[in-house]
Amino acid sequence: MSILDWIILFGTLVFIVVYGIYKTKGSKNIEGYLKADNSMKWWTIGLSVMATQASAITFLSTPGQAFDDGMGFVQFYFGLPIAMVIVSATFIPIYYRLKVYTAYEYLESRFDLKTRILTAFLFLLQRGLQAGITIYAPSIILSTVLDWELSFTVILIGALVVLYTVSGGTKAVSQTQKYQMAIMMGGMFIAGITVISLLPDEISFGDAMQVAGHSDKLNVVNFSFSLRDRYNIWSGITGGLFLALAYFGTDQSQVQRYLSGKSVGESRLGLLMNGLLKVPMQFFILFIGVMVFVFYQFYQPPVFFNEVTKEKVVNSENADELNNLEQAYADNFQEKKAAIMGMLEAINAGEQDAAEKIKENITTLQAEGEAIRDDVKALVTQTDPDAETNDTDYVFITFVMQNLPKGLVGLLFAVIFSAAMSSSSSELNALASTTTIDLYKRTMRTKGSDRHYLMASKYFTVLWGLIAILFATFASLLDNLIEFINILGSLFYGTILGIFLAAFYIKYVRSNAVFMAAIVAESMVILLFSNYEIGFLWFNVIGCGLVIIFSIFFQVLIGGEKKRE
Amino acid sequence: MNQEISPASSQISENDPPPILKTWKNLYWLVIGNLIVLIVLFSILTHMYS
Repeated sequence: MSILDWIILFGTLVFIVVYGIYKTKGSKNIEGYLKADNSMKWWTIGLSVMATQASAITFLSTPGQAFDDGMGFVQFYFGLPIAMVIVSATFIPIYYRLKVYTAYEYLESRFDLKTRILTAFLFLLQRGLQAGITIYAPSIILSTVLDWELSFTVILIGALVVLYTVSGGTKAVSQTQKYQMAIMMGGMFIAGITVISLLPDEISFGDAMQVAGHSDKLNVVNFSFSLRDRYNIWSGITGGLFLALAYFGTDQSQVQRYLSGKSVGESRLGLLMNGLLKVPMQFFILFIGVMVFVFYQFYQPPVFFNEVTKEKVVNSENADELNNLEQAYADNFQEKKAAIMGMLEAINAGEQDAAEKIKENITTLQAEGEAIRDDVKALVTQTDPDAETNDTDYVFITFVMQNLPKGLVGLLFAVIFSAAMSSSSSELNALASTTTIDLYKRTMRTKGSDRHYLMASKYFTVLWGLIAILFATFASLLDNLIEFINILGSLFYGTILGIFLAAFYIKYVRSNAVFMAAIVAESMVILLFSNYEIGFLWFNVIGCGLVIIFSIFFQVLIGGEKKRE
Repeated sequence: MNQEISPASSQISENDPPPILKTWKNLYWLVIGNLIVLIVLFSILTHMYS
């Protein structure tokens, strides 16, 4: 990276931290610290909600996913706008009416203390572990491409986030996220325009779309129903709806964002803004990945995008074989490029039959190219059995570093660091709130002063920040842990959502019934997870459904329970 | 519910109309309608380039 890039990267990071601390210093009470004095306008809430969900992995992995698989991933977000409407219409008015600090506080008024504590504990367990991964996942990629020590990258991101989150609480998180989101969207928009402008002069935008379409990268919507498909419109609307309902309606890292709103209306508008913009935003990020794919049809791509891992093969006894594969890949690229140019000429001349014939040839050449990449990945494994052979996450960042002009590289790194910081700050803020309000204040020290709880919230923010940094530093020592933690979220989300839906919509279900239902449902989810191969996203639906069915069943069994007032 | 912390001073204005489209119901339909339009556009895109 050039000096200009470093200045832009560190200038952005310093600005965010200093702004966050300066603008929000001196929260004098717990309400100001955890709910930003209910002062947030809808656009701040909307941007804050979007920035919380957009982690660094969103910007690193999503374009790579489109490069690899096309744009079908956008269907995963089709349930989100529906969830925004449901949360706005149902969840928000109830939270506001009860003036809660956390989502779990509501469960005590609706059910009882044990249901509140159980749900808060499930949240702390999964979000506490996730907070470490939110820092670790981008750090492993950034430290590789920037040639930094992993622990340095982890501590840099973690320490910056802790600084302003501890200082300004929810207000600092939301105010900084406004600018972080502007940096993210501005940076990605410029990157999108740049990648299209970097295509060869003779290739029009229409030609680029033809190339992408021929390679199955523009299959955005899949109407066929299959449980095996990872992404189709049906799983996107149903699974995506349950996941988004659980995330936006019951996960404190999101609930805290809109509970800081000036009124019910401001919070609703913020969420509906997310409902309007999220799908187009994801479409755009995926589209950048598709354009990067088109770019690499005209300019030689690396045979393996993780240069550091490839370097290990270069320095091993497999170097000659790698060299041969790279030569074969270069030959394949030249042949394919000539065929693509021929196809575009035929299409533009209206010679459909000729174009179809060339398309078949291109398909064969693409398959040969992929086979060569598979051979390289096998070579990587042969050289280092522990090495990661999936290089999808490195596609976009490699493109950025090798092709974008000076200054823009720094801006794109600022986008990725901003995304890591924005989602981490929300997590630490929510973990501290839940620990303070639902556990410490409710069960340990019930009669402290306002200042005492304010200081406790700050200490808990530091504590969760240290746990996240420590976890991220040592996560690489535990191979399968990251995948397990990602799955863990879906194992708990369904049960938590089921408890909330029972609370909102099934008025005659009481505390003991829902508590027993939650325990049975969670046990069954874990049992199903241990014994059957079910796509983990489906556990959101299963867990939620089981809680609702069992809570009705238990309520009928113990129907005589006295109604809580 | 734990009421020991002083309640927030937020305005409970769930019945206030939104700044545009007069009712919240209309705004909800805008979000759902936007989703439907996007799905239709994405379907056309998929069909055009499949």
